[in-house]
Amino acid sequence: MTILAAGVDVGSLTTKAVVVDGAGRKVGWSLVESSPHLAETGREALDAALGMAGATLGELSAIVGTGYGRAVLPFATKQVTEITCHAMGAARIFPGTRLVVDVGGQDSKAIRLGNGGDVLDFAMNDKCAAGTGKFLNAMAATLRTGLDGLGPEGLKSRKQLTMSSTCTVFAESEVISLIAQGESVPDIVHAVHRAMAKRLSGLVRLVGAAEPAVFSGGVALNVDLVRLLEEALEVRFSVPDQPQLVGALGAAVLAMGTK
Amino acid sequence: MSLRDKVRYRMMKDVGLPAAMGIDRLRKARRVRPRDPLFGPPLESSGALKNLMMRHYGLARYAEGAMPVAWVTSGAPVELLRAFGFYTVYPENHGAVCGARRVAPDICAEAEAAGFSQDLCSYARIDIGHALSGKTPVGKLPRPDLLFCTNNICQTILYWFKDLSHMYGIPLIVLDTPFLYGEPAAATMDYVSGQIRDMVTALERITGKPFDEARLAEVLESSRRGSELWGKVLATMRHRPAPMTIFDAFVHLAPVVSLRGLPVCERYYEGLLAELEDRVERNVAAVPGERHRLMWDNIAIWFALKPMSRFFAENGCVGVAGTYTNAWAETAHHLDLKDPWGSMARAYGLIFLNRDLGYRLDLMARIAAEYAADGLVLHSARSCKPYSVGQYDIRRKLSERLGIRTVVIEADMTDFRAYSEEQAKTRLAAFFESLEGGRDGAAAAAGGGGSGA
Amino acid sequence: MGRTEYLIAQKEMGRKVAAVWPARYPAELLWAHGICPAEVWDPPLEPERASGHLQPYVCGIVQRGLELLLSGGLRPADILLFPHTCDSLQNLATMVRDLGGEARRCLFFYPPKRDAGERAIAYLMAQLRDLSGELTLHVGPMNAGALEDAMELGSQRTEAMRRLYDLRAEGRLSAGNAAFYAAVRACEFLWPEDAVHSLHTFAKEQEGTPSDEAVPLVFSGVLPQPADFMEKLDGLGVRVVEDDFLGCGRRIVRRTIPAGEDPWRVLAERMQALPPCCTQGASVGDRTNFILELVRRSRARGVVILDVKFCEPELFDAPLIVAGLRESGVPVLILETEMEPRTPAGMLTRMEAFLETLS
Repeated sequence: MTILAAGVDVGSLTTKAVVVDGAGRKVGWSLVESSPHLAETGREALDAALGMAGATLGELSAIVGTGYGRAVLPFATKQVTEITCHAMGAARIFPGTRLVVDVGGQDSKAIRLGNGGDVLDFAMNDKCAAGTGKFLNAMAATLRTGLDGLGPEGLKSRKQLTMSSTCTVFAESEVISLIAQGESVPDIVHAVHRAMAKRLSGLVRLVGAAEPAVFSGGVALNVDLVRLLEEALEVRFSVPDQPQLVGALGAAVLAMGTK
Repeated sequence: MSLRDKVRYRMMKDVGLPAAMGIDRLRKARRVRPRDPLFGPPLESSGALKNLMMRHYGLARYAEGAMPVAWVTSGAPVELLRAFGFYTVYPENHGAVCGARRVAPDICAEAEAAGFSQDLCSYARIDIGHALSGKTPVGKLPRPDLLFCTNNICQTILYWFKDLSHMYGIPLIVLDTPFLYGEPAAATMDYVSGQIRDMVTALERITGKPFDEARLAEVLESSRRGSELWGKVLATMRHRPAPMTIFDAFVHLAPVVSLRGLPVCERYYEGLLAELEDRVERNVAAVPGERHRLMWDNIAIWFALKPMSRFFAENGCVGVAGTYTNAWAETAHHLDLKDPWGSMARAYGLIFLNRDLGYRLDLMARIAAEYAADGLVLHSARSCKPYSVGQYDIRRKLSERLGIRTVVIEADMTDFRAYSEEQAKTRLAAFFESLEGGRDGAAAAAGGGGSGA
Repeated sequence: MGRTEYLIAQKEMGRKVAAVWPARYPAELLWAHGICPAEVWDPPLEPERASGHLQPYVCGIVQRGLELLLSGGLRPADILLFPHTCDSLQNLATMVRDLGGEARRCLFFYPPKRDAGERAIAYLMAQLRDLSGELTLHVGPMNAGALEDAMELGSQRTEAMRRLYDLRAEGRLSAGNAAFYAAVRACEFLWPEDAVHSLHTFAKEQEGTPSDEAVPLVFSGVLPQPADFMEKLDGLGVRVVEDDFLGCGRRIVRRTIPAGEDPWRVLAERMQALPPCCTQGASVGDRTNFILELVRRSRARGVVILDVKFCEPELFDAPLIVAGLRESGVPVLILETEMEPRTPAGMLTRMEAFLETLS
């Protein structure tokens, strides 16, 4: 019988679950939209991941809960913050990782790792929409590109525009001004990405840029933004295949380790 | 300090810089800029001002090693430093230049990356960011040997300069000027003048030079004259139409801030005053369409001087008075060679930013009357708490007392990241519209800022 | 007994009440004039009226203090005393007095902002005498020997507070964080005899070895805020073993001031002997060393810098102090509070993540 463990990352927008085997390999995973009933959503995500792994709850040796809703998961055997879990997850996928930048829907964080994948320092932005997925959501809505459309649009940019605002509300009105001035959507999107990259690089510099670096969270799929952050920090970022699952993976790995 | 550095400084001062600036002047003379129809002829003195400040920052590059260098706050008794032969740099002025060149966010980001909060004064963040990265638009600032500050303008400079002292590992001299609620107590003025007296001893020790009383007397005299000339320059704006605007005044303020006590400062203002008096005589207007005369409260929005000035002029508005520019003409008359310590204590301890808001209210009412201002623009500068905290109430009180229209715009001196041009323009537009409607006791109804909403 | 009830009882006893703003002021002088100080740090009010007078970039302490005043909460105060602490409080004071129609009961005090040696002492002494003159006009003169008696009570209160802090640092106090700070902060409004009694009782009741395996940390900053944060820390298994809070540990004289002939002088010297503070122009080096000493004496495993958003004096020092502490090998966590009604999840996450790095 294989030994299995799981991690559940309950965020305010999405909830992720990962099941790993004894070697720390992913054998099941899921991503669901969070509801206000965090415990239920957590269970839903876990069940889906178990389904993919062809396993049941009883077969799990341990379950680590992380994320915003980690305290309310009745089935979790342990709670660990998303900072530690993201560090663990990134280091598992890319051994030797020294820096993790995670940009989710509601917050962003920069984590510095030591030699052993342990957390040395971290900085978070969870108060201000700018620098998080929310900022991009707002811009995507104003520009009518859809969130997934931002990356490809930005890559098409030919002209460098500057946006000076760091506040989401101000930025929205700046974008509208640029549209009114006849600037193209790709150029505006690229400028939005540049503004966000600047903001994120400020966050990273609080803990110190380092390589190897990993970019996780849903926003990591925005190639244009990642490239701009690389330019701003002079650091190459590795992006995992499933960047939103890094926290849950880290939690699962920790769960496996606690046995 | 080395002989080589001293010689190089002298060479640059007498030969190198004048030559470089001469070439620059020739180059610029070939470019003809079209006249902006909104404004009267540009001030000819502006050219001389540019040269003066270019020379100041140019020489600054060579000062390190040639003479002792001090970084000074705008309200500090610089006359003492001049008496000891320091080359002085004003980080606040450098901050204003960075603001005007729109590079403040970039330099501030260096400080923020080191953990300094974005909510701190942007002048301080620029200075700390510069200390960490060397970034500056003025070439190179000389490393200070001494930091010299006075907290009459704010307490923030105390924290800022203390940080610099720690980062550079150099001494800091502080003149502690207690904030005055009402008239100053004798003990307070004694405390201040006593500290000034003590500074002389400290400076003798730091420079290894004996105190030159005659030199101080010279400098005090020059400082007073320069400040008085500046006061006269400002007073020309009482004329209708005003020969220059408050936005010009912000720019021409630089010499009395950074070069006060030096002959170049006096000479500069003699020239500027002559030009302005000539304009007054010939009724040359800075804004030919002058309809409304406005007073500006707080420091300038350095990164938006031109657009702000244009927006005012487009609406027939001319800024003719300001509390900030007035500060350098306000207390210099106290300077008295016969009582150097006591008079400096008064000249620096009694500046309006160091006094209660009742005093400020009376001062603003007086200025508004002297300059026949029919409107007040309050710049709520995020960076500057002593200037900005209380503005909402000052606005209401002045509006009632003087029956003039008022508006608050939220901005900062240099950091435009948190500035919404749209928001500011909307408020100003509504304010300008209300001015057209005539005088009454109510504050501008639309685009108000009383509640910060 | 709640704070308000207590102060009403004080008034009924014939004492006057002074609302005192942060941070450092000569409490003994007020006691000598029969005035009970009630400090205004963080009244549990949301700034509604205050936002019509203050920009959003002004700190929560100033916002809430003004809110308390505007809501009528300070009507029973005979005096409003504003010690000079920072730009925002400075301007709040003059707003209240000069624009708020409160000239009648506003008084001021200016602790020197630099180490000017004898000049600072002389200035402090002159101010103390002037303040006493003002208080005389308001509430009447001091009785003979009142100042000496007040100085003695001040010594006793300091001793009692120091003892409590010593017990905690040595791991000989079983009280949790919430209980500790409730006891300490009650002295913000207790008449000194009551304060001494309360502190002694608390020490007696709580002396003993704490039962849990809490992680010992030193906290530096302004206040133990948000209001439920200390309780949350109890839940997380964190023990605050020493503090450099502006409102608490940073106002305890940690060394004995020799008794002197002149009570005015002794009072001035006591004020100058307080721990290094950013609001008094103390150097970064002195502050860092003070915190390192707190870490050493309490054997703490790390330091938490708990800053209030928009607090300039603290925020200018913080990055340099953090660098200094880290250079000395001390783990540091930086937290920022806006004095929210409840501790935000983000603050707890950061605290937990920090604890995870320590384990």
